[in-house]
Amino acid sequence: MTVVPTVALTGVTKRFRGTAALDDVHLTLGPGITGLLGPNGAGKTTLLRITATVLTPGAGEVVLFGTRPAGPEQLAAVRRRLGYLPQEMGHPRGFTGFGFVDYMAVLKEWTDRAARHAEVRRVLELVDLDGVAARRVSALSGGQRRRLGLAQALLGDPDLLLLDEPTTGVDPGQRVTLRQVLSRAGERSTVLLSTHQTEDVAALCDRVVVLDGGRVRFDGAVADLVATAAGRVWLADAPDPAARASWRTGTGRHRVVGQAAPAGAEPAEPTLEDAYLLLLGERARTTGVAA
Amino acid sequence: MSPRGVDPVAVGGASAVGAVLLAGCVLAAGDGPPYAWLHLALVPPAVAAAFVLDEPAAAAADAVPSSLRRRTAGRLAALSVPCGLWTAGVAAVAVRAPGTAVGALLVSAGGVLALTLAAAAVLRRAGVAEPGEAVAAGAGGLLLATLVFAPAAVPMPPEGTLAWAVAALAGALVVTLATGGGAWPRRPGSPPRVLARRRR
Amino acid sequence: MSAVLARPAPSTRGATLRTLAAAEARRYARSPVFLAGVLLLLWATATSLGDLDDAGGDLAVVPAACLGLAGVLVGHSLTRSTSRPGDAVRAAPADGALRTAALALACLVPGAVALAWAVWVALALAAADLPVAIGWGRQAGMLATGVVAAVGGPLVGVLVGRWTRFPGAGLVAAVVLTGWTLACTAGLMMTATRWGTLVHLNAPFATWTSADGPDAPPWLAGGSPWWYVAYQVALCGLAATAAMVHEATGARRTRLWRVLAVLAVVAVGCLALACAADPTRVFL
Repeated sequence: MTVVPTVALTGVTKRFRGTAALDDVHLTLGPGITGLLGPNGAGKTTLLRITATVLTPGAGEVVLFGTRPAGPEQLAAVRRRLGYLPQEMGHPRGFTGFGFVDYMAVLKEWTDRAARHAEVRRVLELVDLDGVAARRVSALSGGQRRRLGLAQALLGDPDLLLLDEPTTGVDPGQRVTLRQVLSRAGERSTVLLSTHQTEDVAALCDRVVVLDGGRVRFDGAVADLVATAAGRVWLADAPDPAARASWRTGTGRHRVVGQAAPAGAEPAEPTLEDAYLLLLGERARTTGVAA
Repeated sequence: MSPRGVDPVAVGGASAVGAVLLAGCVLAAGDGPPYAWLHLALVPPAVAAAFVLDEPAAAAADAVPSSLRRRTAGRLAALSVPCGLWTAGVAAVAVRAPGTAVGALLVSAGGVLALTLAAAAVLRRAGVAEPGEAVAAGAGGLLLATLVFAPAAVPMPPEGTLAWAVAALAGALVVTLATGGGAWPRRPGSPPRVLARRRR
Repeated sequence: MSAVLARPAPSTRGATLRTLAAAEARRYARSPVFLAGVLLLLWATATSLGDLDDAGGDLAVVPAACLGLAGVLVGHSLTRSTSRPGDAVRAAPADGALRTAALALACLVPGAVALAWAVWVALALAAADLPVAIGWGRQAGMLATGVVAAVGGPLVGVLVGRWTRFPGAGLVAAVVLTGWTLACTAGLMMTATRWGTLVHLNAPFATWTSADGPDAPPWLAGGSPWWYVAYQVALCGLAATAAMVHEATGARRTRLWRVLAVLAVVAVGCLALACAADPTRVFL
C-alpha cells in the first residue's frame, strides 16, 4: 500500500514584484515534526502560507492529503484538516480569549454549541490559558496572545499543523509546556514548525529543512545537520576574526565556529545553531538567527 | 516641527472627500447658503483631526526625548490642508451667496476640530496609541446626527458664535493640558496616574 | 492534559452560516454605536410622537439615521474586525463569501429593531385617530422605507469594510450616503413631474413630505412608496452581493457577478415603477 504524504510540494515558485520568495521548492512531509529554519526573508512564511492554502503558488504543484485543492469544496475539505498559526495575527476587538477561540471554532465548522465549547476549553487548557480565558484579548500579554493563536490552530486536533514562530514572546516555562503539546501533536499529525529558535527545533524535530533565498539548502535529519558541524566548533581564549562566528560565552571563553581551529583552542560539542551558521555562512550572521 | 508620522491616507483621503463636498457646496450656493451641505463638508476635516494624533509606534515614540506636546504640535501642521480647504470653500461659497455667515462657519468649524482633537489627545494621554478610529466615529457620528436631528447646531446662527468660540478655546486648552507636563502617556495596564501618586 | 475530542463531522454550509450569523448578530447587538443608535431612536421617536400629524410616515428618517447611518459604522467596524486575524481566518474552512454572508445576515438585527419601531409608530398613529389623508397603504410604505434603510446602511458598511482598508472608510461611506440623500432632495424643489420624482427617489433613502415655504401647507411627494421600498431592497441586495464578490473565487464569483447584474436590472426596474406612479403632489 502506498502511503500518501500529507504535504507534497513540487517545483513551487512564488515571486513578489519580481523577487523570488520561493524558487523551485520540492518538499514532502509526513507525520512527525519538521523544523523550518532560515534567515529573515528566506521564504519560510511564504512556504507556510502556500501550504495553508491562503496563498497560491506562481508555479509548481501543491498536493495536500493526496489532492490538489482547487475549487471551494476541495479547499474546504483540506482546511478542515489543517491548523495554522500565522506569523502575525491580530485579534478582533472586544473579544475575550474564550470568545476569540470560540469564534475561530465556528469558522472551523464546529456548529454544535456544547461540543464547540468543550473543544475550546480543551485547547485553552492545552496552552495553559484556561485561567485567563474570560479576560479580554487586549488585556493579555504578548506571550499569552501567541498561545491564544496556537490554541485556535490546535482546534479539532488537525492532521496538518503549520506554525509560524509559535514561541515568539513566550517565557521559558511556557515554551516547555508548548513543546509537550507539540510533541504530542507530532505523534499522529504532520507538524511544520517555522522558527528562529534552533533549540526548539533541536528539542522537538526529527527532521529539519533549511531555506535560504527561496531555495531548500538542507533537508534531512536534525542529527545529520548537527553532524556537519563536527570538528568545526571550538572553545578558545580569544575571539577569532577569521571564523564564521565567534562570541564570548558566560564562562569568559570564546566559542568559535569556523573551518580552522584557532591557536590553543579545544574542540566543543556542536549544536544545531553551529551547524546552521556553518551551512548559511555569512548570510546567517548578517541576517540573524536568534540564539 | 513637521507632520511626520501622520497617516497621509487618512488626512489626504479626508481632505479629498472634503474638497469634493466643498465643491458641491459652491455649486449649490447659487440658491443661497447651502448650510446642510456645509455641515456635511465639516465631517471630513473632523475625521482628519481625529486621526492626526494616531501613533502606531507610541510605545517607542513615548520614550524619545521629544515631548508629546512638541510632537503633537508638529502633527497639527497636517491639519493645515483640510482647514485651508475648508476656509477656501467657505470663502468661495460666500462669494456666490453673499448672505453666508462666514464668521460663524469658521468659528464653529474651529470648535468642532478643537473638540475632536481634545478627545483624541485625552485618549492618547490615557495610553491609546491610535485613538483615531474611535474619535472619528464619535465626532463624525455626532455631526451626522446633528445634521439630521438638530441642523441648526452646526453651523450655528450668529448668536451662537460665542458658544462655539468657547468650545474651541476649551478644546485647545484640553489638547495643551493632555499633551503637556513632564509625565509620559499612561501605558495600558498601568494604574491611573492619581492612584500611582497616592501609592507614592 | 485532557483527552482529545473527536473532530466535528463536516457541517453543511447552511449550518455553518447559521452559527456564524448568530455569532455576528450577537456582536452587532453589543456594538456601542448600535446601542447608542437605539437610544437615540427611542428618544427621537418619543419626542416626535407627541407632535403627530398625518404625515407621520416621514418619521422613517429616525430609524434611517439612528440605525441605518450609524449602521454604516457598525457594519464597517465588524467587518474590519473579523479580518484582523488575517491568515488564520483565511485558512479556515468557512470561506470569505460565507463569512461575508454571515455579516450581511447580522445586519438584520437593526432591521428587526426598526421593524418593531415601525409597528410601534403604526399603532401610535392608529391610536391617535388622526385623519389619514394619504391612506394606510401609503403610510405603511413610507414607514417601511425606514426599516429597509436600517438594514441597508450596515450592508454598505460591510461592503466598504470588505473592499477598502483606509482608516475612516466607514465614516466616509456614511458621508457619501448622506450626501447622496441630500442631493436627491433637489427633486422636491422641482416641478411635480416624473423626472422630478426620479431625481427625488433615486436616493438610498427619501423623505416624502415638503412645503413650498415656511408658512405654506405641507404636501406629499408623488411616486409609489412600495415600489421605492422594492428599489431599496434591491440596493441592499446589491450591497450584500458586491461585498460577497470580494472573497469569492472561481465559479462562485462568476455566479455572484451574474446575481449583481440581475439585481442592478431589478433595482432600475423598481425605481422606474416607483417613478411611473402619479407624480402629483397631495396637499395635506
